[in-house]
Formats: sequence, structure tokens, C-alpha cells
Amino acid sequence: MEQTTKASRWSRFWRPIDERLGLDALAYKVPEYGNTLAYTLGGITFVGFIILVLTGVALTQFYHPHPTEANASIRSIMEVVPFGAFLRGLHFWTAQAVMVSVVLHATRVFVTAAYKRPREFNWLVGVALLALTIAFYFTGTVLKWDQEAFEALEHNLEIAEILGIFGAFFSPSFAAGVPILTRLYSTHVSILPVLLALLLLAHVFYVRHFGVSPLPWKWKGRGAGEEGVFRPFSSHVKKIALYGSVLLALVTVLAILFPAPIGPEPIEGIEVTKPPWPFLWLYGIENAWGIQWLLPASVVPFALLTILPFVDRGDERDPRRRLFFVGAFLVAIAILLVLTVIALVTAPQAHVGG
Amino acid sequence: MSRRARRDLLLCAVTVVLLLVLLSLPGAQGHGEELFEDAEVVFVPYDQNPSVTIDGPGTADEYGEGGRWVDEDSGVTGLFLHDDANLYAALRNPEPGWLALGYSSDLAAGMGFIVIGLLNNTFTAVERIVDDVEEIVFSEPPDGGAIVQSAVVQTDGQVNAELKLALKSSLWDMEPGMLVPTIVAFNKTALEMPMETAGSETHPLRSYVFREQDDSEEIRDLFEANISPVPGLVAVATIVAGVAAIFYGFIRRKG
Repeated sequence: MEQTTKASRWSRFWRPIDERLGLDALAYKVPEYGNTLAYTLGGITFVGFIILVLTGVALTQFYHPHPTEANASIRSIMEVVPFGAFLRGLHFWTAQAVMVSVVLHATRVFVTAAYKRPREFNWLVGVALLALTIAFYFTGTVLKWDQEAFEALEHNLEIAEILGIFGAFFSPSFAAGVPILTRLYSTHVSILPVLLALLLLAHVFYVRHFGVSPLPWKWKGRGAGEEGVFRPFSSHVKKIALYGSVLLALVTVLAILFPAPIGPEPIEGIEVTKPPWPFLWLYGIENAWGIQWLLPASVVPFALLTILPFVDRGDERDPRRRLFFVGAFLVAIAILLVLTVIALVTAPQAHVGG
Repeated sequence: MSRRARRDLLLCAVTVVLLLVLLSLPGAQGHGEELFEDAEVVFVPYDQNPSVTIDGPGTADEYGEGGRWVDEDSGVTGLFLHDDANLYAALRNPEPGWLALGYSSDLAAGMGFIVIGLLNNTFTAVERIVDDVEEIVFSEPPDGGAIVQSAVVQTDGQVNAELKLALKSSLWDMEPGMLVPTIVAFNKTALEMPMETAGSETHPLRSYVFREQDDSEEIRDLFEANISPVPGLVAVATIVAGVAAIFYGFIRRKG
């Protein structure tokens, strides 16, 4: 009786809102396995983006995007602004976490062949989101304007030069009088977020439209049962909120234990740093063959990811029966890992200018 | 093994072989051919009000330990410091002879040198300039206004020279934050300077001229590439563990 009263009270409160906002469109059923950690990695990444937006908005209040002030303003955030070091630590560690969760989300999608018909386009949207996430990471690295940032930018300028007219945006002469740091800042806080929001909308729309991708062993009718159990979307949201809270707790601890690094203002004419970890594998290639290989090396993985759904077109989704693609994926991961480790253990080398 | 599985295995093997070939290729040469490319970095710390007396010997009290350079083989030492307008250098050669200190803010335009010690039977400091730093040949003094003050003393068979040099002169134009190609040259045996050539020892170095805001420890960490690997290690380890868990989770399941 009491429950009925509660339900009717809730109903009286909710129905008028829902009638006007159409929120029941979200109340679709989610298969039970959709609430496992592997299937909520996309949602966890989304929570990460929310933390990044909130901490980023706070940081922009104190950041000065000019080469003469940028480094000092970050030091001021770390030393003067109340909770500034913690906020920056949260932003920094959440960025690392988002990079990790994006990679793991893509791995889960690959292993379960969720890029196959009819979800090819959503896979492409996901690849674009991966590229955007990397672009966020890169521009964010440059904004701190220390030696690592400066050398990263120098590499970017070299690549832009190789690209010619297509790299014009990254050329210092693109907007005379406006430092490229300032333009990268605007890219980081306006252009990329808008693109991210649009692509995320598309990504979520297609997940909603096609539903959560099937389990690989259920395909062709094998493995009975699991997809038959459905939960309301709210349970999915609760799971994401739960894992998101764990993520927040984790980055909070990391932010306290390991404050976000900041080096001295950049020194021109030297190359003494290595790139941040997501780009370390490229550093190995750069060490071996020179800076001109950075562009093709960066393009190849994205090209492979882009053509994947059009090459792996069979109905088979079970990773044990897709040996070639699974093997190729593992080899690719191994290559990236080996190149990363090589870059980690070798001494910094100079590539730019020369 | 089915034909398809054999094909898949073969393709995996080819990929692995390609990877091994790729990794075994020799690394590209850096730009170490350049004289100063990998030269040792000497720090020139900033002191707004240095308490340096230009009298010959330089002491740790005057210069601190921040800008100390030692050539282990010869025992030649250098102490360096700068304020807003001048660079202070104290050089010591444990044997009699002369010392030379050269800087260049633009290698294409040559390198300015200060030669100090016993020159033509006179203890003095003179300005010289060279066009080609790889084969140092001092040309006639340009009177570039680089020497603000100098002192040299030779006692007990060792030479102590101290220089106060303008950061900006016609020999060079040093800005804080620059990494300036530097040469310390000395001749520890000859009591007279052969005017045509530099001494028997030349040391290419790079002087980092501190900016006012530079923190000594941070700059040292930077040049020693002493950057925390924690974020990278945490992230890479998480990815490796995560990928392994995902593969294990989906492959171990019975369909």
C-alpha cells in the first residue's frame, strides 16, 4: 500500500516532466551483460569526459594562454589558487584514465566484433572519437608550456610543414600576431569540445538505435540465454555511475599522491624530453627513421581501424573463430608495446631542426 | 588444422617476421656530428647582486656550486654566474699557460673568444674572434667591448683567471634562456701563446644562461631528462592488464 502511494507520488511528479521532455525515450531495455565492466567502458569514458569538462572549466579561470604567461599561470594554479594543484591533478589523471578507458573500450568492441553490420558507421564515429581524444591529450600537453610541451609543439609544426597547405592551421603564420599556443588553447576549449559533443551524440544515438551489440558466442544462436535477460536502462546508468565513482575515487587518490607535473619554461634549441606516454611508440619510430615517419606512422593505425569493418565482413563474431584479425590485433598491440618500452628505456634524442 | 586456420597462422607469422625485421633495423643517426650537438651543458646561474670580486681566483663563496664545470683529465675548472648585464667566469688551469673562453650566440657569424694568461710575455686578456669553430684560428682582436673587467694571476705554477664579460657585445648577444655554444680552450704547457692556433685542448660545451625565474633543481632535472615515469607506467600497465582481461574474459567463455 505504502509502495503504491510512493509510486503514485513519483508518477505524479515524473509524468508531467516526462510528457514535456520525452525522457522515456531513454527508458529502453539493456541486456544484462551490458552492465558488466567490459560493456560499460564507454560509459566510464563519458564520466571521465564530464570530470574533464568540470575541472577544465575551473582551470580556464586561472590559465593564461600566452607563451610568456602560460607556464607561470600554471605554477600559480599549483601554488596560489586554493585547491588548484588538486584540480589540475584531477584534470591530468582523468585525462590519463580517459586515454586508457578509450583504448580498452575500443578493445572490447574489437574483441566482440561490435563493428560488424549494422554498426559499421558507429565504429567509424568511435574511431573519430579516439582521434579527438588524442587531439585533446596533445593540445592539453602543449598548454602547460614547459619543455615537454614545447618539444611536442615543435614536432607538430614539423609535421604541419610536411603537410603543406593541409597543415596550415598549425603554422605560426596562419594568424600573424596570435601565438600558436593561444590558438591551440582555443582548439582545446572550444573546437574540440564541440566536435566531441556532436560525435558523442551520434555515438550514443547509434547505440540507442541498434542496441547494445550482441555477445560474440550468442551469434548464430550459440550460447543460450544471456541476451534474453534484460534490465532497464536506469540500471545501466546506475552501473556507469558506480564505475564512474570508482574512477573519480581513483583519480582523486592519484591527484593527491602524484601532483600533475610541470617543468620549467621551455628552452629553445634543445630537445631533451620524451613525449607523453600515448605518443611514446611514435618516439621509437622517430628514433629509428626520423621525424618524417611520424605522419605515416600516425596515419596507419587509424587507416587500419577505419577499414576494419569493411574487411572483416563475415558474420562470425566469436574471437576464437576470427584468428587472423584477433592475431593481427594482438600483434599490433605488441608492436605498440615494444616500441613504447624501447622509447622508455632509450635516452632522449634530438630530431627537430638539426 | 583446417586450411583457413593454417592461412591465418601463416599471416600472423608473416606479421611477426615483419615486426622483427622492423625492430632490427639500425637506428637513424642523430645530429651528433655537430660540434655542440651533444656537448656537455654548463650552467650559468642568475644572481641579481653577485658578490664577485674580479681578482683572479674564483671561490665557491663568490660563485656558489651551481655553475661549476670541471675537466677531470686536466683539472681545469670553471665557475660561472651572471646578473642582468654581465657574465662572470673564473677559470683555473693547474699548470702554467693560458686559458680561452669562447661564446657564440650565432655560430654562422663566428665565435667570440677571450684569451687570458701569459700572452707575448705579458699577463693580459684579449678579445679574439674565429670564423670556423671546428678549426679554431684566432683572428685579430675586434675590440668588441666584451671584457668589462679581467684579472689573471699565476702562482705556484697554476693560472687563475677571472672575467667579467658583457652579455651583449659585438662578439655575442646572450639572452637568458639561451643555450650558448661555448668553448673552453687552454694550453697547459706553453708559456707563450702561439698566436695562430688555439691550444692543445679545446672543450666544446653548451652554456645554459639561467633566466631569473629558473629553478636550479628543475633545470638540472630537465637536462638530465629526469622526468617522472609514473603516469606512463600506470597507464601502460593498466592498458596491458585491461587488454589481457578483456581477451581472457571473452575467449575463455564457452560458446
